Amino acid sequence: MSGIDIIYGLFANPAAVIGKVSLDRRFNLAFFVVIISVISSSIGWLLIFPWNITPSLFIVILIFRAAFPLLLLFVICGILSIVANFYGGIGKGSFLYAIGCFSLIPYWLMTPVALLLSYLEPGIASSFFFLARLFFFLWAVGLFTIGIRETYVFSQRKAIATLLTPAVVCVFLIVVFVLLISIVALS
Amino acid sequence: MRSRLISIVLLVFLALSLIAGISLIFRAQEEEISWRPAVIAREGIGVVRIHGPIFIDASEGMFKTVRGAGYYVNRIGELLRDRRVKAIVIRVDSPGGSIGAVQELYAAILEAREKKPIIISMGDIATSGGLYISAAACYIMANPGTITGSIGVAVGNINFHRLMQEHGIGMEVIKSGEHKDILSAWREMSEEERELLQALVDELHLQFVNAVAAGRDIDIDRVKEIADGRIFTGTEAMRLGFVDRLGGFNEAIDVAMEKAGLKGEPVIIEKERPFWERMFPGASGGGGVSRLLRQIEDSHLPVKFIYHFPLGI
Repeated sequence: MSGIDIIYGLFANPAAVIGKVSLDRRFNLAFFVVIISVISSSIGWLLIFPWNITPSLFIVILIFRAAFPLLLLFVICGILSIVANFYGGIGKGSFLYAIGCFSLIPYWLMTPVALLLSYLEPGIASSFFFLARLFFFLWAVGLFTIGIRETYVFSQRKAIATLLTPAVVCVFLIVVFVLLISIVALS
Repeated sequence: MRSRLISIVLLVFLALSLIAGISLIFRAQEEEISWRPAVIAREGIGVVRIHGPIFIDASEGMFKTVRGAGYYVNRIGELLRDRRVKAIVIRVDSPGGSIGAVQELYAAILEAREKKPIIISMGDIATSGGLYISAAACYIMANPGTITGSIGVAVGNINFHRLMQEHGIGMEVIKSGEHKDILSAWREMSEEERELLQALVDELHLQFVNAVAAGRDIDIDRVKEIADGRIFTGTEAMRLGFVDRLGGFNEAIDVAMEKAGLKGEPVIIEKERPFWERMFPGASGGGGVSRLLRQIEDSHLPVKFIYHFPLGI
């Protein structure tokens, strides 16, 4: 599959394309998707919330903003890979990492959306911009869930469980930690 | 084949969006304007607030912003370039300032009024240099109790000569010319020096009178009659022809709307204050008389001239 076919497929027929991508990591294209997502997201943000910024500072911010999701995805995919294997999935974390990068493709639309929103009053535009961000986030999570399912070859239910388990464990650990702190403080 | 064509169209659309977005961001920053259609559609009145003594330089620290003539000149320029701004109201609440700064601001306002209507709204005080810059505008408004006037120039220095004589202290000065240490605190002023300084003050005073007469289109002799440094109220200023109408800031906005041919609720276009100024309201505006005088001291000039009321030196 060519790069253009993958990009089109991620928008038009994500399940089929992610299934194919899960067999071939295509890291170059995956990193390209992340970089364009970060650029589009940053430009969209600056269009809605104007901020005095020099071109050089903008580039520095782009580098950091690109590095952040790449590193975060690296950690998340490592954890999710362990959880997926625990649920009986067969697949590698590196493949999931590539899928994770591809799943950021909805953020490509941030700049066009921000340009359209600029026709509204600033206050309304910023409200709709947050809604759009939420929508793109949920879309990206949806793509990632499909990616987990295809990479580890198991059911959608297990894919969702894989995604939620670390979050549930984190919340549980925080609650336990707070309870322990409270007990120590009261005793 | 069809999917490939759609993909290419999508990618071209995205690339164009990114290019358009980035150029809008940086162009808007260069021109200090908003590019948003919804914002551009709202035409309004630009506002500049000149508060406190006026001097040349501005400085911006972490917690304190001090604005000088350069800042105000730039701000007026930005509002002239801003397509939304149809008229400019300059709120003057200043006792005056250093001569160079006041004259730079006067020139900027005089030039600006050729492009857009400039309305001055005098606040509590617009004396000396405050009146000088106001005279450059198309229309001046003042409150009935606004203190204005004080057309004049002042120069002075503390003299320790007698005190030093009493204590047997002297000051040795090696100078290249007779008047190099004019207005020295350590010796008495000679009659010739007094005449020299008086001529200089007269010349600066004439510049002030000419500027007010030209700006207000009043006969120069009429200005000279009251250009003895006296101060007067807004009501008296209107009678003398230095003010066009009595009224506050809101009335000035109404006049600006009228002159700009705008109707409905006025839209005020004013530069947002920096974050620290909003957090600490006292950390902005003019630098106070002490700062003005310190700056004049730092200018290494042997003589200190100001368009300022009260004198304070």
